[in-house]
Amino acid sequence: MVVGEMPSSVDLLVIGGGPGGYVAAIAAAQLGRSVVLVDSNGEAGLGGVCVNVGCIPSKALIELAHATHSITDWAARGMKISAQPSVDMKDFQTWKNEVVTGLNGGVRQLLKTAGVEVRQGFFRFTRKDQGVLEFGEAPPTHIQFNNAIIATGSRPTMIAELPHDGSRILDSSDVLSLEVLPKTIAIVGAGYIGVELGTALAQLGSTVFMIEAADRILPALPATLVAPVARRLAEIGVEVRTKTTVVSDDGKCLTVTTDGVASQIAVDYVVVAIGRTPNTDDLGLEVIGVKPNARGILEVGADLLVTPKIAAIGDITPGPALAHKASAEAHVAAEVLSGHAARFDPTAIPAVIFSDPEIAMTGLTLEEASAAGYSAQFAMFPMAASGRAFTLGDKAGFAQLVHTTDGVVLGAQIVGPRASEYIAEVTLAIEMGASLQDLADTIHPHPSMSETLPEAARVGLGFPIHVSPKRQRNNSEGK
Amino acid sequence: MSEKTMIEAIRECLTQEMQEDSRVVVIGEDVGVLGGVFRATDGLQAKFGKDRVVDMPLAEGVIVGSGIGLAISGLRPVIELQFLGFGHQAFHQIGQQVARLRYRSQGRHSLPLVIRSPFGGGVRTPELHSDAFEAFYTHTPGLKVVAPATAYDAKGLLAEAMACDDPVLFLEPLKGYRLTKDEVPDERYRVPLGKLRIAQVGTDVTLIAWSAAVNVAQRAADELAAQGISVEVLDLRSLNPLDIPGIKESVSKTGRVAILHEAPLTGGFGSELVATIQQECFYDLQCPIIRISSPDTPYPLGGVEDLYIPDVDRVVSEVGALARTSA
Amino acid sequence: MSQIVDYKLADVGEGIAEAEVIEWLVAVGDLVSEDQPVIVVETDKSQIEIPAPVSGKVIELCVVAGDVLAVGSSLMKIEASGEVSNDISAHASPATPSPIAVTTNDKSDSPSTPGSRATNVRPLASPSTRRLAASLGVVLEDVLGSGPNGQITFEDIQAASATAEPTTSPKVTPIVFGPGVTVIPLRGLRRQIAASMSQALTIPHILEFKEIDATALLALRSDLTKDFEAQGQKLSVTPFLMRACVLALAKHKTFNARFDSEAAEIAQFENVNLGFATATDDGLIVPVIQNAQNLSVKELAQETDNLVALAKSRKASLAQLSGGTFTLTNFGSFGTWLGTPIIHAPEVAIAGFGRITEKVLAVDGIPTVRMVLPIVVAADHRVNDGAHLGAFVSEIADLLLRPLSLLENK
Repeated sequence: MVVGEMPSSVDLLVIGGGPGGYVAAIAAAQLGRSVVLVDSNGEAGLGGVCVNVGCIPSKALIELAHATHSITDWAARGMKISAQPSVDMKDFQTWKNEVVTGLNGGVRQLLKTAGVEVRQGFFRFTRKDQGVLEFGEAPPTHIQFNNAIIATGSRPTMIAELPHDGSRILDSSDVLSLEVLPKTIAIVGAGYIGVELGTALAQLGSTVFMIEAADRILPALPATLVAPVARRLAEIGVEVRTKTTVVSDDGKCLTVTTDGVASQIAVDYVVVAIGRTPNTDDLGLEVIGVKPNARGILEVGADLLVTPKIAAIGDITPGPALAHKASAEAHVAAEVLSGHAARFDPTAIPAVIFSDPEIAMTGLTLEEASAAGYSAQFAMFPMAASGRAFTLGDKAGFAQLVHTTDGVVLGAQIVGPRASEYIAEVTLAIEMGASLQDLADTIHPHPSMSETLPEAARVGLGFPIHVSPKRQRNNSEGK
Repeated sequence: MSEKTMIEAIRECLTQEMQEDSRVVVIGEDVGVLGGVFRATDGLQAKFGKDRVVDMPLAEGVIVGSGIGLAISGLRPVIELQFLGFGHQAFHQIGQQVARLRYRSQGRHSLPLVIRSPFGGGVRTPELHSDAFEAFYTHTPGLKVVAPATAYDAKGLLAEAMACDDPVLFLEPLKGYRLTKDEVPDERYRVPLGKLRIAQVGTDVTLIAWSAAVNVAQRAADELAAQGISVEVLDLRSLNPLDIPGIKESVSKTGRVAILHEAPLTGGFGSELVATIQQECFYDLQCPIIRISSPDTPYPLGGVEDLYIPDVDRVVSEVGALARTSA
Repeated sequence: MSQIVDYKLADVGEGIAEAEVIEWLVAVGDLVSEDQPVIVVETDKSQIEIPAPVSGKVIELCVVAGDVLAVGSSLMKIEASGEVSNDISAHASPATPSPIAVTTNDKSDSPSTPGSRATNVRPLASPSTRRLAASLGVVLEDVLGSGPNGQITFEDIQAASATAEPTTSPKVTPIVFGPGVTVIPLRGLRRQIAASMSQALTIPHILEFKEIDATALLALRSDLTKDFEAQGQKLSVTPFLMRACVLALAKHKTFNARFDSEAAEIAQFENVNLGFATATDDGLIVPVIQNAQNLSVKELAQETDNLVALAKSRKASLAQLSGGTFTLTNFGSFGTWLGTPIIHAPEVAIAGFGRITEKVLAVDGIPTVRMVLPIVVAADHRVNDGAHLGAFVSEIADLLLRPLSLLENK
């Protein structure tokens, strides 16, 4: 028996091992700090939702689905296969687990090399410089820290009408662990997670219903970007029900209402993918005098501090809940808490959606730029004019640059094959204050999808090569 | 040399001294089979046997009284009092017997006895476990009072106390047992009693502390440094004997003194320091000495002890104000 | 169809150009009825509760406590539940939708002006430049970019940092939050006092002091006290001091004036609107006795008691707090000797009276213990010179030495 809370001393404590937490831990260690990282899943949790049950597994599934689906298209290009391709989800899970384990192990090794100690348990603040780490039946351990970085991330938001059971009513993470391919599945919520999962499952052969309360899929995105994706979903047979909400589920049938009219959808599985909830509810934040806002978010400024000694990063802070935003904040938090003058002050945060075709965005949309006070224009180049898109057999979509009348690049929206791979180029251009002329005069390799960027820049400059200048004017006027 | 917590350093010291000197015995509640409520004596009974590591009944007066007998008989007992708050059960034994035996026997008997006891709060213990009662014992002539703040000092001072032919009350910071971690040599060494440690060199203010408060003082000094205030932190290490020359040297340099302790204000050891400093360094002082302490109330429930024990913010605020007081 | 009423801060009174929000009495979503108080604002003079113009639902609060608003600023938006009368519509304009983005295809040939940009547009600077700015404490919004399209370069930041340094004030030791430190935001009356006192420091003050034998004054007050108290009126020395000032001002009109530096004019008044400094829990307030020249000592006493009560409860109306031409302050109640009063701009003089205490005076060549009243007057040297001031102070002193004169026909 030990009487009282006997704390051990930690210089810098990182709470959470996701893409925010582990990057913060390594960055702080590089700055000379002695770092302990705690995660509720211990070493198995390193990499967070992203590596273990989120971005990485979902991209593995999407690649499989895309290959399976497109293989039939290859027949016209000369590839002859004797049988209809089929998918064994058990084999997929084995492979996916290797991918996840490999990346998780990589993070583990990086932390070890950096001298970061990893401990398992749920952490809760008990004083402004101390907290308790609890794990199962083990005696709780108390940790006093000089600094702490809260990087607890988020979890799928569930709804009362569809209580999560992990067998029929699933969250987005459960879907990625299925060992059988669903015959029929309903996806509640057509945000980016719902669209990615729905597309992949439909391409693999499931009958997919997509249920969205708004009047279209991906309601947070500009309509022009969504149209090619909506067309493709229809082509692969996804039944999209917009303006529709879930009423109940009886274990076999999902009852929904559309504009007040009730209907039933018989499905094997229901996935709830309506968003994510920040993990700020059970951290003892009241002890350190911090109160999340109504959405559970911790309001932070550019220094990311919630108290003079504690920073918050990732999905629990304002802004998009994206892994790369958390990692970027991680560097800032580690520096600020180590006495450096750093600010989280990005000009552009890119976002990618692995729909079909892919959508990638960075910086401002035309509407956002105008609202921010810019005299903004856009310049668009269609994938149908890209040689590389031809060879990929996928000509849907466009690359669009938003710029000032002086030509300074403010944003980009790309819909089309491999959009996720070259959106970073525009992000760099924005951060560096590059102009359309800079993009146009930078030599891009041919043939590649990245060529669509200098082409769009030339459209904006009024001297396009691969589309007619008239086309640009028509587009502008039509806008 | 390796990093050790204070509890590890104390255990290592006890082990090594028991190995070197077969007259050393350890007695106390739960020190044997359990290895001490804080694991200070973990493994000692297995190593040295039940005759040298003895579990005692829940009766502090009996434990200390037994220690007196063992010491007179030629052994060198180390007593563990589970919490200093329980010490009052043995108050007569400690105050009137232990401390006076050499005097009463006209020097015929010495009493080579060490009483180890954790004291102070900060770890949410229930009532009676958290008091900082050191001033009762500094008010007891004949008893040395030692209160280390680092693991290094804990090992070195305990070895010195065990080598001393007179009784020593060895006070261990409850909160510091696992929180305090520093480089501790693996071999035996001693730290002399009555020599303070300059925990941090500074020029503007002398901040005097001991035991767990030294850590608070150092963290406050770090924050004050960021405000351009240079604080010299003195870790007294032993309250009796007191290193008066060491205090004088620092005060003559800074002219401003703050005393930090966990015990309540009135009659705390800080009062003794104020009296001594004004007598020894009156003409070096640029402004009145301040004491930063707990309030004159009983030790509160764990939930509010952060408001009771002076914390870094309070020390920064009060020492900052002291540094800005005009001479 | 319901109408959105954009409720604006109307002109609340003479000369008041702005008001500070003290607190909201309603929240977004609340239903309010017409004339229900919705917000408390404080002007230079007083706290005012402003009522809702219409009944309806609060859909937006445009300001927060502590904001200082110009007349005409939007306070709140209310979705009116009923018909909106023409009268209110005139005050309140329907909320306009946020401006719709317009794209232009106007490709101007004129070269872009370096550094020119819309006010809320993000400065153009690369991440490494931003990092440098953060480390040097340079605010990008304050830097004119020399690069293409007004882009801020490394060199711009270094130059801004170099020029900024000599002008920055010495680094203030940051306030340490913690026990023993209470941080109080400068709000309400305190903020107004801070502003008006800072402004008063631009006035070149001259001061004249005099001590007088107050034996006769105290004897008179003592004689009158019983009579006053029979009529339920307490009598302090203050009304006598007021009356002395009023009578002295009648002879020295240059002290009963207001100074307008912008118009380069001095306005002299026939009437005396006499302000008197009053300590309240919130801070100093100066109620004004209008047309004090018409009031007897007794009436001054009554009016003073009345206004002090209103001021202390912060209920005094704007009219009761403005339009002063001269101010009196009584240091006696502080238990100190005397102070140096500060002129209440735009007035040009202020009289202060200290504590009446026993002092040794030479009376007919013999040291004698007498009750002595210290007097001070501060005057605006732009308006009056030392000689004028001396004469004015002497006039007040003479009146107080012959206190019966204060009871003469008003």
